[in-house]
Amino acid sequence: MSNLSTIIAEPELDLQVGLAKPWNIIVWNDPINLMTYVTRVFMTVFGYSKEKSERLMMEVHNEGKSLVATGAREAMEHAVTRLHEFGLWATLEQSS
Amino acid sequence: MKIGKDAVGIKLDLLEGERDILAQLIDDFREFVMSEDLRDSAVARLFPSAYKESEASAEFRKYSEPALRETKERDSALMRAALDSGNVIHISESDIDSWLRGLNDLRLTLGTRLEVTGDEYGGEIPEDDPRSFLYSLYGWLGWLQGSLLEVEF
Repeated sequence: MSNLSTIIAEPELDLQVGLAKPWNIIVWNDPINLMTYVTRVFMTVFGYSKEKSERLMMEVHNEGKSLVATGAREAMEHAVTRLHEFGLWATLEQSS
Repeated sequence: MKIGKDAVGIKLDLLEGERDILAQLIDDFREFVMSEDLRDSAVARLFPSAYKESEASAEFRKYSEPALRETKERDSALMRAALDSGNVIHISESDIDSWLRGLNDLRLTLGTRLEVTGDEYGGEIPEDDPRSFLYSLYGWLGWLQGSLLEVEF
């Protein structure tokens, strides 16, 4: 039986669903990927508009990195795998 | 090389020499991507870490790396098969992602090996540099990928 005390006693349990801090995807600048390609990948992986994708790409280019998506860990891990398939340098970190 | 739209997607018209060299690059890549040595900088670039923490990264890698490997295998095989069919290649809309990803894998591998730093297309290299041929290949791949994107948009 799960009640509040067992949940608290077992932090592994998926309290996370609603309470955990979300996870961020960071894309880092690299000297190889073409700017138009990075824009295209954001459009494909996240379904963002061309304008939004270009803005994020420029942020990666000028600032060295950009936070491109935030959400539940599993969904973000899936998106990172897709970004890696396309050869982007993407990492995950929990929101602070 | 000529590139333009056609009824199914994109038509890529390569010179004989361009086709041969691209096929050779893909063959080399397919052999190299099977090596699992993450100490190799180009392999490490193709299979990046997802987390700062090594434990979380290793856990993530367990399921993401086989998927990544499979995609690279599929994309490179698709491009290679298309090159076997002749110098004029028709890339359907559903295959464009594979071409973009596959060409990018080649660029990442070459670019990492050449330690490319700034210029997207490789920049100027002194003619007597023994790697000048690789630089020109790298530049050509960037031009090809960039042209595909330009035609597509």
